[in-house]
Amino acid sequence: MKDLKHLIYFENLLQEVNNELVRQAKEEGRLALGYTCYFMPEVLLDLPGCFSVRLRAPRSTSPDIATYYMTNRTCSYGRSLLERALEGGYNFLDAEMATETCTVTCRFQEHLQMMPVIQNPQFFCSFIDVPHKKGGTTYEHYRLQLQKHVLDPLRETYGADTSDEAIRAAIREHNELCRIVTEIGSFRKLEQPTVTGFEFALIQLVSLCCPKYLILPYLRETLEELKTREPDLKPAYRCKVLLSGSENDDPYFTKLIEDCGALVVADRHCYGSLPGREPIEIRRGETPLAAVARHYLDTSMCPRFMNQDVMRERKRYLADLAREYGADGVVVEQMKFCEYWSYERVVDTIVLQRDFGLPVCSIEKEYVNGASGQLRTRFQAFVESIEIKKLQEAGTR
Amino acid sequence: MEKKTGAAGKVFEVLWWTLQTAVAVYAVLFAIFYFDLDSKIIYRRILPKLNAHYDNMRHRDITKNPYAQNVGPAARNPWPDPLGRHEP
Amino acid sequence: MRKLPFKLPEGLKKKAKEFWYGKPDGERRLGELYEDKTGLYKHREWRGFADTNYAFWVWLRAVGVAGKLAASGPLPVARALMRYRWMSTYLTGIAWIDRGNEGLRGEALRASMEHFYAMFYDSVRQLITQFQADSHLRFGVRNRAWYKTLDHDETIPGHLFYGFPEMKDDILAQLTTCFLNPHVCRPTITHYIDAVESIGLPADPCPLCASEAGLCVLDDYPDFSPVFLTTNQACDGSVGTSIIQDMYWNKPLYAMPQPMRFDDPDVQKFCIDEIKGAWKFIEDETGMKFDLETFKKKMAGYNQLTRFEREKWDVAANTPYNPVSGTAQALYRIFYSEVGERKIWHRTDAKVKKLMDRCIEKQIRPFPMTRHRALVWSCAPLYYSYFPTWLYNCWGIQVVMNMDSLMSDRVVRLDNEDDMMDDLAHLFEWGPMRRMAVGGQQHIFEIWENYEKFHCDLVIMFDQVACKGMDGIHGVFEDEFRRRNIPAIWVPHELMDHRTVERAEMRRAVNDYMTTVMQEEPIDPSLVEFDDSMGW
Repeated sequence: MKDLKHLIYFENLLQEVNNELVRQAKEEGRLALGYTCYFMPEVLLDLPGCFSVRLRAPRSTSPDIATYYMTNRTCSYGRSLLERALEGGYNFLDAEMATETCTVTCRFQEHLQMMPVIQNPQFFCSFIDVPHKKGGTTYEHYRLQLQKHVLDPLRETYGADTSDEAIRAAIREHNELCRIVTEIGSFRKLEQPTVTGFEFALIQLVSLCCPKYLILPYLRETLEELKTREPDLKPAYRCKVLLSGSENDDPYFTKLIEDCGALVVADRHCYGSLPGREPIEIRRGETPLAAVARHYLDTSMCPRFMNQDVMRERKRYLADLAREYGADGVVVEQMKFCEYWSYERVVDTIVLQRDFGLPVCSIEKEYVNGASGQLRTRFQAFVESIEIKKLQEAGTR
Repeated sequence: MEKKTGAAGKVFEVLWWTLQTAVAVYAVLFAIFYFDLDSKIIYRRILPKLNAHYDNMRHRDITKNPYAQNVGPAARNPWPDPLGRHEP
Repeated sequence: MRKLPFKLPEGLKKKAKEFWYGKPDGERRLGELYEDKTGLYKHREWRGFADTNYAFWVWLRAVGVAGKLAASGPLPVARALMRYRWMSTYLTGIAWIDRGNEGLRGEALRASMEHFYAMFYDSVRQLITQFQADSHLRFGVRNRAWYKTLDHDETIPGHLFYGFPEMKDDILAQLTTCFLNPHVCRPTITHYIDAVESIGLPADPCPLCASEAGLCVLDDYPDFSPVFLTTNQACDGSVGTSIIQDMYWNKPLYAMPQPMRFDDPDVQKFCIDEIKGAWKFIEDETGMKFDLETFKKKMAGYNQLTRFEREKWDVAANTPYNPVSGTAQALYRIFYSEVGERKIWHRTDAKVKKLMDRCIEKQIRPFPMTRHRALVWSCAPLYYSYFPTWLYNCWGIQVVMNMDSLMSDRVVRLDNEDDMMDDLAHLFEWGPMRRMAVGGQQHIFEIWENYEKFHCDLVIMFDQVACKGMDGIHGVFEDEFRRRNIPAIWVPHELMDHRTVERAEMRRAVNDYMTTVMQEEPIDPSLVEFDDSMGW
């Protein structure tokens, strides 16, 4: 397929957290607000005068100092973030908007509170409490947390405009970005998709890690390109897969899967777009903040949710996504030492195969995938098994 | 007088028998206690048999448990669901 | 001992003294009582005439309690023993009482053994309750008791269900089936961990949560309730295990997670809503109605337990007269605070209070071999719960307080419903591990103020290798111990799974520190190195 004009640029942007666009926004006087989790609504961090940066630690090697602080028995994502912080990689941050959602990222953010890691005298790290359930009083609880621990500290420390109007403006910009990314993602639903999983991963990641107002023009252009992009005459892939799982901000992991013959057509993981790029709707009688709180709780598919019906509908959601995007199988990945996904992956693997007839490749990975040889073998075997299944099904028809 | 002695003698006999029995029971139980015979019997005789029984037990396969959707009391959002999962 | 009119040979005099009083401190050589590898006793400890008979008396009572279990329903109990692997661990329950109280004498022996007996007694009560309602033991038949018994996660405390007078009982699902297992007979729980790993769970999640899920995989939970309540306490793993539990139980399930940031006053209303939601769920699903007066009555009883607990802490902190051993303190506290108000706790507390008052009045030091007063922090190993007993006997390290004892420290006000619910919410939030390990790093660092408060000179820092919460803060602890010049011994373990870190390795960590850093000689050299690798 014809190369997308800005793809290499996106790839380069993702090599640094404090990339060219982040630096430009800082120079223009905007506040850089870091976060790690979907439960920290990025739209609230993109208020006028601010921009959100979802934290990554690209080109990480061995997080030695972070391992001293957090031992080698914690998730390497959290440790890599701490290592990058200790190296000074996040000194551009004006605040870290933290969530006590998963233990390891929580500990990472507590280190930012405890230690003078970020060289910014006004830097603060503020935590919100996130409900483990959806529905009932959880929306109000979440809304109150966002007000007290996100908006109020921003206003009090930096004089940020946190009015309803400011939130509405942020929602409008967010919704435009969501519309563009969703439309780009919809090309993956085609019989012959015109965007690869790797390309989409780059697009999704830059939308999370770069100032929205600066990345939007590039995304608009990319969307226009894709509208007229023709697929390859002979597809390079042998099957389509849905990638589901825990934290995954490494586009080269998606590339690894695609190098093994599978096209990643849907991304249901922590840094993915499904869910993540649905527009926020402000209903009648709702304040913008209440709409944000409701939206992020309703859309999230995090295994943290404990309602019985919500626990079960996550599997159906995956099955529905697989059908919608034409996926032949599901790759369920889990960051090693992630407690939530350790359990979720077990039940996903059982239920998706048994109840929905979806082949599943269930794997553990590190933040830095040095053992890519092992993963490559697993993915190649998975692709072959899907091909065999297709042949058998064709034979029986 | 003889009658009283006879009754008292019977009571004494019963008490003496009770005391002997109590001492014997105490001695046996104390021996079991002191020489840890209870633990030894359990460790060497009972638990190995029980563990062999458990190892050979067949268990229900919970991976075959039904996993129905729409279960339990659900706080459903009456508004249209952005992901299209629920009926409005 | 009265003087005899004639002189006994010296050797015989010593033997007579030892018979009457037991071997003196420093000469007991308790390690020589163990059979190699199994840890069984060649013979139980002779603690002197009075103390040995007291220990025998407790043994008889425990046997009696076991008999009560058998008598409660011989057929269901026998079926349970054949059906549930974990049930076999209760055969070793009396040995557990022995191990936890090795080397103790006088008031220390009595106070600590009473705590152990109370836990054994209540465990049997829970077993009886479960078996009376368990449909697995009745060929699937659900009797009346089944409909009136409540099954919930072990970290949901029993106080939340005081207000249901029609409820036969509430049972913490994993307490007797899972939590107590490794304390009493450590190899049993490994079967459950292996079982859940056989269906795909990695080996690194917390083994407590893994074994809870493993019981599901082996279908080894009794079925005695129409519903199940889960919680997010104590950690991410507890949330995760609910996913497998739901698949297993496949019955109406209510999740009642507590807020993580429990210091925030704004979250209390949300927690209260969860508690009320649970009550409504029980009413709707079982038909049993909540009664506030019944709740208040039982809560008042539990408040008494909390007040006495604080009294014990005060004595432990400020005097050498606390008769409760570190092992008994830790286990009893977590046990009763989770189970909730029961008569046995009040009976036990009354006995312990008498002993404690006697020690204070007569200035009796129940732990005379104490060289160091230690604070234990982080999650303690369940397969070596009597580690504090070994610490004391071998090195004279008396564990004065431990982290998990300090949770759930809240007296619930009963005069006003709003205050009552607020206090109840806090009591729920301040559960085991949760009170210190989440909600902000300031909680886990309450170690420093407690170190001062309890006048300690040593920290035993447990290093649970699968606990992400504690692993994630490890380095800062290291830095702070150095900065504050606090001697701290890091003792690794894996909570439930003895195969990862054996007990001998834990002892070695202490031995190495005490010999190389503290340069001390052991009080009982026979306890320094011994092989209990095949023991319970």
